[in-house]
Amino acid sequence: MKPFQYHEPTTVKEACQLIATHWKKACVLAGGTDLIIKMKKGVILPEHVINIKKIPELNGISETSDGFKIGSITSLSAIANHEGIKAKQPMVGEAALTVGSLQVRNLATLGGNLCNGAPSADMAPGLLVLDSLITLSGVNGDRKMKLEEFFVGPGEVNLKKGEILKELFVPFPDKDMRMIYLKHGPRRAMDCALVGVAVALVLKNSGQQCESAKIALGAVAPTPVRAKKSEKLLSGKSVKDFPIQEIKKMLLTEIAPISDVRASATYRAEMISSLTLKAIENLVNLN
Amino acid sequence: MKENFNVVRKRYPKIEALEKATGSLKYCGDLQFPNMLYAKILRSPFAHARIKRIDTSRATNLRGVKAVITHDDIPNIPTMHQFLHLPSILYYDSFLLENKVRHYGDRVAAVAAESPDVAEEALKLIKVDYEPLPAVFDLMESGTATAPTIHSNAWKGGDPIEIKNNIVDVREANIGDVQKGFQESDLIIENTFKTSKPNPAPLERTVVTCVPGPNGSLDIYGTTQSIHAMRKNIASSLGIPLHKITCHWTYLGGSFGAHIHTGWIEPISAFLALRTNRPVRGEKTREEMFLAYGRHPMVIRLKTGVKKDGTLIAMEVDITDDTGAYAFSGASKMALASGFCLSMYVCPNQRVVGRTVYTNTPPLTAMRGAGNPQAHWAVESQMDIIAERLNIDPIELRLKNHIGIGECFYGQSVDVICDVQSCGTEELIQKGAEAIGWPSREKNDTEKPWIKRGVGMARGFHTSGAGSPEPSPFIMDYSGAIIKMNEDGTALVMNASADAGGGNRSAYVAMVAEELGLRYEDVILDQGNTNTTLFDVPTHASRGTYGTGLAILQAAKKVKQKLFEWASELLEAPINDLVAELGSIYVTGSPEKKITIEDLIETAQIKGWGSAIGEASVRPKACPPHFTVCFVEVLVDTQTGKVEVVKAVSGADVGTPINLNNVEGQVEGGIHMGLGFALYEDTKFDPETGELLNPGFLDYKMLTFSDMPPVQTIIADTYEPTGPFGAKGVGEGVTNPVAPAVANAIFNAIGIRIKDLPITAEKIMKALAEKKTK
Repeated sequence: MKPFQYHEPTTVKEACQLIATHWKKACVLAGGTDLIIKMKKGVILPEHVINIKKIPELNGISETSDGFKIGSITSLSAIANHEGIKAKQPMVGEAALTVGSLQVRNLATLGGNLCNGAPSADMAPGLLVLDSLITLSGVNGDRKMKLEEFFVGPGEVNLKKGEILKELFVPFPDKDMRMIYLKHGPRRAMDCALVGVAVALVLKNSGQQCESAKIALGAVAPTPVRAKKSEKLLSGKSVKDFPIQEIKKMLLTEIAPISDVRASATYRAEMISSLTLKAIENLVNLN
Repeated sequence: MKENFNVVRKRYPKIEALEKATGSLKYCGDLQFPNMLYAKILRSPFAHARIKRIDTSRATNLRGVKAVITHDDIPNIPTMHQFLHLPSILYYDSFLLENKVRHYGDRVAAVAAESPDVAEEALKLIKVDYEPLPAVFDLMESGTATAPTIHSNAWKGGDPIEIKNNIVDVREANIGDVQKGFQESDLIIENTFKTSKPNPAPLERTVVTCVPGPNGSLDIYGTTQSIHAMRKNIASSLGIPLHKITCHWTYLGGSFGAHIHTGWIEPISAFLALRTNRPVRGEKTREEMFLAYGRHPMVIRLKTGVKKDGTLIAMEVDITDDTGAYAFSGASKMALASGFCLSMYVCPNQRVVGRTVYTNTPPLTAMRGAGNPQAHWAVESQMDIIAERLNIDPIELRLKNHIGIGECFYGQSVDVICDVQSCGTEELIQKGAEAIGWPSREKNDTEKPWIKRGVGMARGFHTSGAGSPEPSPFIMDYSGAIIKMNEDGTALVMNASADAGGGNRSAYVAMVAEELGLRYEDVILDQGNTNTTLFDVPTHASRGTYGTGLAILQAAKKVKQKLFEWASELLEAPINDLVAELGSIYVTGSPEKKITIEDLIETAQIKGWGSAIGEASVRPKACPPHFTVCFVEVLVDTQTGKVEVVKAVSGADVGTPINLNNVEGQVEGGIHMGLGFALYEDTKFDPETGELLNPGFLDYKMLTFSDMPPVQTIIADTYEPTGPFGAKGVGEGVTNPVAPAVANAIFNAIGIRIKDLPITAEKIMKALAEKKTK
């Protein structure tokens, strides 16, 4: 590994200043499950590594009156094991459980999963359908945005000079919301998602009427994406009248999958339909 | 036939289990030497290119760099990589470093430096002018007059040979009259089957440390399946006298064929050690592991003629085998696959033709089964296709035609022949069918309409070593063992055979304990080196327990003879009346007349009778196939194409299981590797540039623990008359039938026949879509 200068700030302010000072020459280290591998391989050669794991205010999950606040360096294991999340936003915990192995989840952080800008980030689809908000801290204070606005392209996120991801706010869902994250990969563990699908449906009338629907897709576009046109085909409909064939077609208009060593674009597109329909069916049948 | 054993056939932890479990065992890479340098190899970014010029000056001047070498610096000796085959047919087609590179990642230059980082840095400072050449990656496109020439010449034995159209070698074998056989057939089935390019991917990466000593000598600690073969390889490739090199024995962290050959990093590190007069360590990265090894992909066209009742009448096999850019073992994998195809079933008329071709891809090696997983994939898929067409139960078709006792077995192509003397196939098929619930294969529906269930099976075998009644003109099979008794009555075994984790060394301990009447704990295996052990061929071909076991047992018998002679004298009883048990020698019927082995050794020393030592060198005269069957139950998701293997039943006819724990370990590992071959494992290359696209475990998928189905092991009740205590091999036979069993189960589930490996979800979805449009 190429030598680098190591920094260990203990406050957000200190971290932001370091990032601003070494802008473009520094990498932020949180869990390190991607960063260290890339550095070892020489894919990235930072001159400075800023470890933000020693900043207490970035760590932890707290429950407010209307949702959960999750600090950016909270580990995926902590999210997967959090009783409140398991009860109120089970999909978020389940998505965390699909990442890597126990050892990886103990190290990997929520912020890392999102800030990598990977289209296949397992945490993204679920948090997108829950309309999560994020807080970014910078040298000049905080700014908030929808998680949706955070993703820019493969490996690219909406962080300005001197900014870090501070925390996520995940609002409590409607009491009648049912949610699921389905990940498709060849194995049961240790896989990057070939495709990932999160679906959240607010089902009223004992689950017969869909008041609103949200769908987010992973690994089939330059960023994790919401499938808003497909969502509209479900919202306000009786579950009996879900236009399955139309949804399949509509989904294809909302994605831009690529072919790579893991799968062809054709297969990814096919799997997006399969998985979304599986997810919907799963939620509707959960009576 | 079953003997009463005291030690054999029971369960023991491996002799090194505690050290492995606690992490205290020293593998090759754990060894440290003062003043050690680190070697790194500069690798080609092109799949095929001539090197016009190399400028090493900046690298040489980098602080901490002690040597930089290129093709111009190395001995002008064609390198060779294995000593399995007879010297007259050994194949040489490379140099330590090349002036023409033949695959992405081929060797251009090497550096020795004070640290791995400095060595890495130095590689970046070497300037190379390449003249890229057209390349060929597909085995069917190579071997033609229009394909770019990868090699134009090589050496076989000592003789130069010309290479035409990238064809390494061709083979042909005829049994009976295949044309006549087809004329007599009621049904002729013809299919082409393809296999992939999985990597043996042992946990431990290849590593070697070469320590220079006085008078140009070298002590070498390397990952190898044979320290003696490695010594010959390195001495031959560097042109130095054999006795100058001592190769030291260490445990291996897996191998699966990766270390059956000595690659280039070993002689390169040895060369750098001699040049710098410092210890030099060369260690492959995981990417380099993927660029160095792999199972040969084959395209196998199979034409089978059968009678209406399922009797096989004719079989014609046409094999094209891809060895990659260099042919470490000539055309032997193709020859092996040919012989194994012939050996699967009794068939009076058979014809095999095969060719091995070069391609501009990394050189390939043996990998658990050496040509046999490929043969099984073709033949065992074809058997189910035939059963389907004839409307015969696949089990019945196999029972009707399988080879059994008295039949001829081709252990190493048609060059190594032996008669089958033990066979548990029928027992295993019957018990396996019961365990999987064979009749339930009629039920394909599950609670979820889109998930279909299937049950499939395949059978097969692998050889146990490469022995034959007469010495083979093709391959060497030889083992040597020395056993000496310690003054405390324990036995010390000196033997060179490698243990890659299979537990063959623990089997030797059990064998010696059984023969000498000692406890398992009282037999000690010295790690040793090429000076303190006798020549032993690599641990390969599932020969560890069988082949080396024969030498171990023979040496133990010699020690026992000596001990009994002395005891006979002291106890005043004839040798035939003596029994050794729990460290003492008794007179049968008079248990009070006894002497401990400890006292016996001491008495012999005091009286000057001599040392209790036995040596045996054995050329096994048979290569008994260990037969296996594999049954699997799968669930196929027709919406995603995903295949889940929910149960596996593996039956193994290993003769006497010397240590049941180890046999079961080999069975479960064999199923794991077989399922990987069936479903996931494949190395993929850019079709334009030949670059390896999945050089690590992120995108090279092996089954994890959570992907493994429960495995039920069934061990046949057999006894191999030629084996030590009736034992045969087990390492490879289990893997061979797994992939076709999975394919057959998938066909049972959804009526889709996949003929090219691996069976990915994507292939299944494509085939399902094609089936729908038909």
